[in-house]
Amino acid sequence: MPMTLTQLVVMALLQIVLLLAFVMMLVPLITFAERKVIAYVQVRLGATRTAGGLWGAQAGRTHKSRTLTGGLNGLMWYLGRVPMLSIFRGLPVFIADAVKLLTKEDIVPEGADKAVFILSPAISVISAFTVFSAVAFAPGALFTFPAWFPIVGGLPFNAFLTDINVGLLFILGISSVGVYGIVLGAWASNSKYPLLGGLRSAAQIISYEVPLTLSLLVPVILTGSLNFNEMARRTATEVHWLAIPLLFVGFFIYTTCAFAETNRVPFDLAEAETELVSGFHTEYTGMKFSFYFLAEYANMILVSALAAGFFLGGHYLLPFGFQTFLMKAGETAWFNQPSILFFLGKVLFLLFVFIWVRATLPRYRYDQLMHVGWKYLIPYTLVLIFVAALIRYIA
Amino acid sequence: MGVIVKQVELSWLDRSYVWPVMKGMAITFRHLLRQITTPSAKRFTIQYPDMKKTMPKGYRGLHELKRFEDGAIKCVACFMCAEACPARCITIEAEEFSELNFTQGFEEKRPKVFRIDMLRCIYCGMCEEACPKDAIWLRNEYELAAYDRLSMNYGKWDLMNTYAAADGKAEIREDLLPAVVRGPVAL
Repeated sequence: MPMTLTQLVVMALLQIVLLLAFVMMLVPLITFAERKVIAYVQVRLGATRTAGGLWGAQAGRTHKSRTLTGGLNGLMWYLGRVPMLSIFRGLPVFIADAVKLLTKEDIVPEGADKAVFILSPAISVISAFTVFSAVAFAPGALFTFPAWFPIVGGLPFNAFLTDINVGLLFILGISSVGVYGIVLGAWASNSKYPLLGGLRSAAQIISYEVPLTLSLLVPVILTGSLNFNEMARRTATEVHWLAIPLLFVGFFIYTTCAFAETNRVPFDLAEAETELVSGFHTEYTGMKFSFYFLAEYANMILVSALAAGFFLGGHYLLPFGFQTFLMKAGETAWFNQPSILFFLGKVLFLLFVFIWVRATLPRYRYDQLMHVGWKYLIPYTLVLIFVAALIRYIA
Repeated sequence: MGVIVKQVELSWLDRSYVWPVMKGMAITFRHLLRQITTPSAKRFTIQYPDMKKTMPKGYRGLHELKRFEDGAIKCVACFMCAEACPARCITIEAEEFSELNFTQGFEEKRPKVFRIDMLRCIYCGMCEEACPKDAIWLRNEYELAAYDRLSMNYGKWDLMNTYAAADGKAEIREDLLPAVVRGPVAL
């Protein structure tokens, strides 16, 4: 159905709002999950009593049954048990985090380049959010608006904002702009630690962008497309069986590079607390810091989405092209239908892996980082590409 | 004597980073699973104000001055505890008291003032060991906090009643028998 201009704009705005809301909601939830998962790995409890009187552990004590969980918690404490809600009692910590970031004093250090100082977190966050416009959360429409709906009634609500032909190129191009935010912010801070962090980050991201992009070329070669939907569909369902180990290795290389790209442990040299205070955002406070924070976590979601889309079978059930075998059971079977749930599940799993790795590995030394990047990852990805081209030629 | 440092020869698998990383991830994942599957009441962390650990038998916490069944203090003000105390936190002033209203020959000794500065006390239990009358015990209470220093000076009646509520005994606020008042002695 052809859309009028108004319908186009309204539909795009709705999609943008939903997408932003999704990412913005996911970020604080990831931070909460990070606290909890790392705590559990270290055999601690993590955040348990942010809630205070209303929901919290003390609710049963001080407020009795006046509050939501008070009576229940009180009864359980009385019986000598930890209340059932104990896992979730720290949940409001993510609201507390956000409120804290928003209400903090906004400091611009003396001697800082003000314009650049303010601009650079914006660059980071904008580039981090813009790339989501090319990510397809599901190949088709999520739902169709009912006919009575004003303006966009009867139109399908797509799970992707735009279906760009060169989607992958767009994603890589925009997301690599994010490093400018880091470097400029570090430079504009007029402080030595941020500068060192920024320089490290620049060198690191530039050197790891090479194997990252090269490893993404494997699915590109195998599928012969740059369109997100198309690539996700073909890597999941139409790859040659020889390509399955290739995708498997490619996934590991891609994930390693993704850790470096997002400045996450074990490659968080840009913000190495023990050496650089906190790296490029040492001088940033309040809202500006939260922009960097948002950008980092949005980038995490993005690289997870890419890995899920191109290596873990995208919108389909099985990863690494194993879905190809399932497809013989017929297109109509439920496990052969693409679904947003499969995709989101994979993204969430990868986000968990990010946290899991952070809880496990110590930080690499700088020379080790460069060593791994240039001497191992890049040659391996080149070999992978060569093999992928061979398979493509044979099949 | 020199020490020969053993050079550990890593296998190619260990040098590859990948295998050790995977081993480490497996370990952390095992920890995660174990922590999640343990019911929260049985985890190592004790959620302190709500859950409390039962202290072991010999725990040395807040002191108690023991009493006889009739409520008279056991302490005879011999100053052994004050002498034994390495932190010098015990202050004792003795007085005489008498069961009969005699003034000669039947007086006994008890503390008029028995004060422990809990900020100085190191809970070593030396006073308990030194006491010949078993009159001072260190027991399981450990939640000692106050808003000012003066409140951490526990006097005789505070120490007599520290565990009264826990043991279900009555609180004692005064001596059963009056002290013997002595006039000034002419030398």
